[in-house]
Amino acid sequence: MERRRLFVIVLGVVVVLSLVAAGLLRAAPKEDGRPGAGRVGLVRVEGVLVAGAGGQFAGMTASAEEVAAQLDRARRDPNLRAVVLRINSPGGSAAAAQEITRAIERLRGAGKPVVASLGDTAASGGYWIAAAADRIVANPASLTGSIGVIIETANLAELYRKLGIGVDTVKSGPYKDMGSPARPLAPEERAIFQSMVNDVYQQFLDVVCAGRHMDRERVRGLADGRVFTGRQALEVGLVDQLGDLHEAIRWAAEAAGVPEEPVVVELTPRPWWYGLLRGIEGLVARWLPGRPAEVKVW
Amino acid sequence: MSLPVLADLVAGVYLHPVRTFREVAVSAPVGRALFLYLLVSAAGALMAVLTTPRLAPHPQLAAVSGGFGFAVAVMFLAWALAKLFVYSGLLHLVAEFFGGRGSARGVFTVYGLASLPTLVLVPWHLLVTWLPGYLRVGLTVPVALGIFIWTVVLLILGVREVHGLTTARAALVVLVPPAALALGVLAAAASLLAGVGAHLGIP
Repeated sequence: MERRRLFVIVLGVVVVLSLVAAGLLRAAPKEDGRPGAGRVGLVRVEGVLVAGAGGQFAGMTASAEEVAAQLDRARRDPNLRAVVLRINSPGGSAAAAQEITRAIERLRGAGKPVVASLGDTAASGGYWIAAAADRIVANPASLTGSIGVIIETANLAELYRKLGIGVDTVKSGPYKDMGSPARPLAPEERAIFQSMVNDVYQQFLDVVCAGRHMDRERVRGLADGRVFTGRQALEVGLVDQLGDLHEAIRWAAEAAGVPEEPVVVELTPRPWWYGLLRGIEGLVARWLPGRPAEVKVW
Repeated sequence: MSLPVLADLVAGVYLHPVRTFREVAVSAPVGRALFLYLLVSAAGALMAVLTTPRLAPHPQLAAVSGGFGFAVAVMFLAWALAKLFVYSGLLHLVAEFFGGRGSARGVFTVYGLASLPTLVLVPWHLLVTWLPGYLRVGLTVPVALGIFIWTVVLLILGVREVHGLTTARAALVVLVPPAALALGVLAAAASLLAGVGAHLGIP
């Protein structure tokens, strides 16, 4: 009887261990297995920057906590020689940009080169974090710049009046409800908001000046909120070179002293349905070789 | 559901199937069989989900299988459950045609327990992810065939014990439904081809 139960226990343990091992294998970062090859980490920043945990829908938010954790992991991993930050972000929270910037600085402090590769858009907060990298590589048509800070409040008082909605506010201080949509912004409140915008703007300028090695006046001339194409940004010194992700990886590898084609380690996990959609797209392209190339101009 | 009793049932199916199925014929542990069947199906589906992206021949296929993974696993479990009811019912019906006197509960239990050998494929699937492609195919085919034959033998033994049939009749009970299905598919394919040929004017 004992032998029979031992047999079942051994079988159960083997099955459970196999499932756990398969789970770990699936969760492991995907990379090619060339032994001894130099490794470059790839961290993706996609969507609006938020300081919290972010959402499940890729392309909508990029969590600063998660991006910083991936950068810190790259810093601790002795096999990773450099990191490429692939940025596709219109910006977002300044605090989120600062958290990612600090992680980039820690990484650079550990002696690992960091290259920012700009995708469709790396504007405002997206450019903020790019400016902290050793080098910025942009596509000629990437949208970047938008150096500036904005706070928007909505004044819905007239709408509330038409709908017959009244808002009663009980507050501990005169500015506790500043920015309330139930009434127009008071001049003193506008001044407070403006001082906040100015302060964060100065912080943004600090990052760009330090990262791009440009004097403050020159940066201020570019930092009126305008957007640049990658090519225009190269001309004014906001990016270092034109190129795609592949060229950014090559540069990162060379900067880290990796002479050959590096192994790229994806450090940003994708949601399960992302692979599904990309896979279907790839299969369609594979089975329909005559499909014309897509050109998008928005 | 006591674990030692469950363990004895599992070990019995692996090590002493005839004796175990003889006990099933007297008193069918339907709940335990259903539980084990679902456990084995879930383990197999989970392992397939976890390993398929690495085994897919193309990166795109790997991405699709990885993306669909858990949805496919749930569908697989639903399919497995439906198969358990439908196929064990069919086996019971055919067994009665062949003169069997057993209960449907007994056949249901036998069908559930006969899935136990497929549990061996769970660690096997993990092992093959490290094998080169040619070796993977070369070894998986005989192993999968071996497990399939093992399962069929268990079904035959179980139907024999539950319905009190001879081994030959029990084998017929188990093999007639898939054979009939295969013949039906062949006949349908042949008529389809004949129809297409006639439509195209091919003699």
